[in-house]
Amino acid sequence: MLAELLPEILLIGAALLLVLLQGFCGRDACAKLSGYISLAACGGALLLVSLHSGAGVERVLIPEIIKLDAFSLFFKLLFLTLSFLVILGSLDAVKRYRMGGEYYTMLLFTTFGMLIASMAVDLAVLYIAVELATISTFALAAFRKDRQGAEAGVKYFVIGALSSALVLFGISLLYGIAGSTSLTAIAEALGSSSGPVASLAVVFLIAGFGYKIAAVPFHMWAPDTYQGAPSTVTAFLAGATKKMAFLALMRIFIVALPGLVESWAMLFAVLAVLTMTVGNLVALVQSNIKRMLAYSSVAQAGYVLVAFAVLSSKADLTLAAGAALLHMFVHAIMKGGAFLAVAAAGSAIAGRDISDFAGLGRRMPVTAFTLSIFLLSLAGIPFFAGFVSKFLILMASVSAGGAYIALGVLLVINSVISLYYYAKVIRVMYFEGGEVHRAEEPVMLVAALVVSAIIVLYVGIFPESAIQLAKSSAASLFTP
Amino acid sequence: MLQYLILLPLAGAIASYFAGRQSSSAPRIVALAVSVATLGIAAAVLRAAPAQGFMKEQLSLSWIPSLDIGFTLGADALSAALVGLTALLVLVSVLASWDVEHRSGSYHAYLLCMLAGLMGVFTALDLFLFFLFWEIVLIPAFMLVNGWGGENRKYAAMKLLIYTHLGSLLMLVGFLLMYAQTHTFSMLEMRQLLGGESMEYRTLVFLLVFAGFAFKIPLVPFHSWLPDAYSQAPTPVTILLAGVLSKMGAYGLVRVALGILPAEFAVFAKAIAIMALVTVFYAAFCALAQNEVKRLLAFSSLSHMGFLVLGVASLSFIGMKGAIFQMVSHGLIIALLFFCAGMLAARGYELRISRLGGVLRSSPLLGWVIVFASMASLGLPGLSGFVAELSILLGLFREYPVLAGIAVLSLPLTAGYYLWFLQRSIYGGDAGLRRSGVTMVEFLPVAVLVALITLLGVYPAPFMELVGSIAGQLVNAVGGG
Repeated sequence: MLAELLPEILLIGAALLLVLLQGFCGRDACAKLSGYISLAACGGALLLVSLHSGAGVERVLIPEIIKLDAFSLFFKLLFLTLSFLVILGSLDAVKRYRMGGEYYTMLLFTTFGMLIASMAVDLAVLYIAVELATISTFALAAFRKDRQGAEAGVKYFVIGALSSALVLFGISLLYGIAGSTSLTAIAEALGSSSGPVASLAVVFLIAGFGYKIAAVPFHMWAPDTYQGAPSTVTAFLAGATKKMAFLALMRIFIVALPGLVESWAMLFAVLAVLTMTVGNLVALVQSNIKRMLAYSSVAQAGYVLVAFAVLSSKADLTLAAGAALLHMFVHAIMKGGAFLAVAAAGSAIAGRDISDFAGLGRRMPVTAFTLSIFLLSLAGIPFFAGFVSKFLILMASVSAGGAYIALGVLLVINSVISLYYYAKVIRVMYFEGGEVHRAEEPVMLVAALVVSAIIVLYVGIFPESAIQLAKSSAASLFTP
Repeated sequence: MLQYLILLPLAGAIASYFAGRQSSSAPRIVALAVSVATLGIAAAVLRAAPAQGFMKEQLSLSWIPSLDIGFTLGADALSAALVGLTALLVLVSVLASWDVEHRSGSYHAYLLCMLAGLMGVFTALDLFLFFLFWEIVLIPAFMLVNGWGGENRKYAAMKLLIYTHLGSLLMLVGFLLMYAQTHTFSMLEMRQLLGGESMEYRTLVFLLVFAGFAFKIPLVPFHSWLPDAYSQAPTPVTILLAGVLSKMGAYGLVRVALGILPAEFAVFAKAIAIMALVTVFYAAFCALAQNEVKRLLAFSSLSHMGFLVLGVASLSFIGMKGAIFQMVSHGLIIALLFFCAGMLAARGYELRISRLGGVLRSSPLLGWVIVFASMASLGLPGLSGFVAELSILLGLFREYPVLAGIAVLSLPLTAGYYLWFLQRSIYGGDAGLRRSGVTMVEFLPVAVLVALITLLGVYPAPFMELVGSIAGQLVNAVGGG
């Protein structure tokens, strides 16, 4: 069992080491050293996980509590890749925000919590893991010590606490019906009966997690938090933290509540329509790039919810769930990359308005080029990863037939709307702004950007292996 | 061989970008070399094009097997004709951009990317691949209009991008509905498997797919992006927009809407014909009212594309041949016209018709070329436009005599706005200063285009024979004759 948990042990070990380290060296040296230690720990864990992944991995580590399957490995891959990229980028950003070693400690704790959450098949463990991961991010979000930073932190904390309460209430209702917090036990106890209590539990769970994934109408905190937090942290929040809530949703609803699929898929369909439409329309008018990306994040969550809604159809369910998984992975990389690019631009540009990015194409060519790749991918332009995953979602919804086709058409129309605000940024970067001087680009951030861009292009051009991985990971959810 | 039509321009695009960092004149050399080489390959493709049969697979690589998507390319006479046209017009466009100095590396890189995408569209045998290339052509077009266009370029570029993107995504939904029933993206297999009463959502599928093509051609009422894009784009790019990108829509209409969904096409044929007729007249009247040369040409192009669609919708053998002929003929003529507009601008003429005048006296050769091109466009017998429009009208008469009768009325209208344009701009006016003569770089494409337009007009038989078999097959599938 220890061998399977080696990545987690590595992370928690490194995190505790960093705590001890704070007492022994100066602030700046400590920050630097902590950065490299956490980078190594994350890289090591990533390596272990990627060696592990592959078909047919399924180990029950603690019966009915912790299970390592293809689904959890997929998310581990996602979380660790993103943590790695964010830590890599942070090596540059830490100085600017005067952050110490505690920054990395919290990143590692968060990642640790996420890894546990990916394996939890028990509601109580899942809840605790999610909380562990979330509480560290509260501090991360409030790292900027100005008014905006404080607003980001407070909003995130209050909403986070509220949503946890809602989730907990939903869990307690399920426990009341089933007498157990194990997902499979709940599924057995519920069967296909949908009493009022179970429906209430569904509503509370969706509302609670709805806040965490920033689905409309639970999204109001996201733009403020994403704007106020340091960009590297925002990259992490949008890329990884949000995906953990999706993970929990998938585990709970597919494994524990398959009997109620009709009712929850309906709710997800409504949320999907609201989320993508409102997200895109509001993103259109944003002038601050971080707010624009935040609303784009809201809209992209809507696309994933479309795939959730399709789960109630008679069509290929692994395709729908696999599409959702792939889009989460791709979104983590491209949105994480976009926020990291904003962080990189921050070393030369003071403002965060889209108009401040004028001439970035000549000023910071690598940053602008990679940011363009992420934006085109977010818009779903072919040969970029975002197209592949969005295409899969569309394929799943269209082949389900009936009303799901309408959902697909709405997705398409939203995608067209979104192209406007993504293309606007590219235009500003390349075709506006007068004479500008070449600025130095932060090395580590650029390294993180290039790695992300390569992933986006690779998945976009050679999608086969990514699609298969996503589909087989999704399949492990449906096999009891 | 077909893959080099895509790979070579892509490699050229990268080379051109890096050449642009060394000097501002190097990229055009790269672009010229690459487009000449591509034209050479295209000529070979055209020679090797099987006179018989629908698309033949020539290259097939497994790409995304879990979704039944392959990287398959193929060509028949229709594809080969458009491949040849594209290669030629890109070469013309490169020569037309000879004096682009501003960020010439990126400029030529985008041109070559567009070439690669266009070649992909015309040779893809897999609908997914077709869609990818179709979409990717938009990005360089957007960048070119945005970076090198006229005063109102930002608005025009965004409109072009959003409108056609909407069309293509609706088309994608249609493709996916087709895939849901056949579990293949191969055009050849779909052609066998689809169609008829058994198909689910057949009306919806057809309308979605048709919308994609109608946005691209475009047909009224999907056209509102066109005047802005054509007039604001730099002239060499307008040559491609009007000459080739519009043909993507026409090609899709023939290859996919008619080729894969013949029964559904037959149901909507009359409606499409009426839409096309409205386009012909609407655009002709708009052209009459324009005071800007490029906008006039834009509406004229729109009107002629409407004619092309009339030929397809006639579902008759001769009409179909005329429509395919019109694809090439219109491409050549509109390219020549926009090339002339570029030459006018390069000589310091203001492109407002009311401010022009006396071009024939201040630049005699250029003036005569404009007269020739206008005559070709209005359908003067002996030039290629006449052959195309005559065949289309003959086909239309057989199926829809009333519509054909109305369509004939558009001919004097077209003649009217061209002659009025010539009267105001080329003739008359003050003698003015003698402007600089035609350079070698300008003369060459003009001579080639003039020669081709004349050749196709005087002796259309070989081309008609080449596309005869494919036209026959397309029409037979719907039981036309």
